[in-house]
Amino acid sequence: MLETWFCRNGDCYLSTAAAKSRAFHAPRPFITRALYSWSTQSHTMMINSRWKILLLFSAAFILLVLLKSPYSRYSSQYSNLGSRPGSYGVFQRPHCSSTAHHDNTKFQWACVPTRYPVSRMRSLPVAGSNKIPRIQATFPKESSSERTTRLARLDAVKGNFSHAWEGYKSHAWLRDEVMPLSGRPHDPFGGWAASLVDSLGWSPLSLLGCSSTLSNITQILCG
Amino acid sequence: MGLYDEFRSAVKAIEVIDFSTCALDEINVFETTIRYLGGFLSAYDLSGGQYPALLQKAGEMGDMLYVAFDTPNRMPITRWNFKAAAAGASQEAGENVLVAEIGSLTLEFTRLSQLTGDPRYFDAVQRIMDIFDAQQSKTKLPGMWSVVVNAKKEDFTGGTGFTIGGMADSLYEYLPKVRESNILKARFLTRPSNISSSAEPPISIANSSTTR
Repeated sequence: MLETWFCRNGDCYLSTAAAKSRAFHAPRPFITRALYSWSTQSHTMMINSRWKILLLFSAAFILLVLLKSPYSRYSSQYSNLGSRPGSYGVFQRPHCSSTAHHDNTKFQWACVPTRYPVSRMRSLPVAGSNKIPRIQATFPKESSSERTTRLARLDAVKGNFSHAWEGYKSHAWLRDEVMPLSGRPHDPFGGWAASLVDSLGWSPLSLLGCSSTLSNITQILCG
Repeated sequence: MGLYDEFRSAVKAIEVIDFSTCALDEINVFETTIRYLGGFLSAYDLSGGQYPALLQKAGEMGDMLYVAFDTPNRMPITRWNFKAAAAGASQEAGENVLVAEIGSLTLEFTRLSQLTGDPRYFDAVQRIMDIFDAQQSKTKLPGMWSVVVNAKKEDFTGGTGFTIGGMADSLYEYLPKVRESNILKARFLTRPSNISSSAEPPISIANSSTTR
């Protein structure tokens, strides 16, 4: 059973399956709804494999249409950010049973009982419609020598990145850090692979490159 | 660079990270938030939401850190005894906490609420920002907050040391960023089923009421 929060007039309420099915039937286009339920592996709706194939093709088609839509550069970047429900995942919180605490079940932080519960939860502010302006510089057209310098610098950055990444992979994989001289692993942040997670956070830019079509946000950051 | 395979294998690797064990007895909630929670969330967003494992890990991390807020006044413990908390021990917020450590959690927790539709993370950090808001002009250098504040007594006015450098800088850095992230929420929000926003009047951060 999934927990779901509903927010109205600044108050939020915890609901479970009933509320989820209600939300599920909110008026949305059929294909979106079906895709959503498929992608979340909904317990309430089973879709057979023929439907899955059909939906997959439909989703690919819709994505193609979206990518080709002739919006102006920035408006399409921003307006598409939240419009691809099929591609977004869902956080699945573990089911906590009151009797399972001392069983062999894996410890889950979500199941630690709350001593001081919040009686009145506040919802997220509802967004305004302000557009954020472009903050990246507009670069003048570069000469061929400037281009050579820039590419050399880019290569230097890539070389340093690869050196650090390979060092971490071979000497401290899944540990917090690799020590630069001894090459030994070091865990000052709990030992949950801090360097890996931390670099995942910015590496879509460096690993995947600015030409990537993965993310509109990435395109915005690349300017 | 186009290192798609590297990225994919890195995402695959994080699936095995287990937050029920820890290499330390005490963790720094701020460092954990900005490195791990921030890392998972920004990787998830920058890769266009294509890797659900990243959001899953962010949620697991969020649920762990949320336990650090389980104090009588809902103020978080910044240097947190992880193992005692896991065992269900009683805990309360510190009387001398670094202002950056308690004031720079908002960006990650707000984004986690936006993506999961679960308001608890936003609620947790907004309670802190309410205190910053209410006491901003009552400090010894009105407009700024001292480097050390009292979370247990919810008194952010007692300190005499001020800086925009280390131990305070990220507080001031986060303020405009979180404001922008709330402005952009409608465009970034991807789970319409959880927020019945159509029936909701606009609420600004400053106007939302504080009730525990």
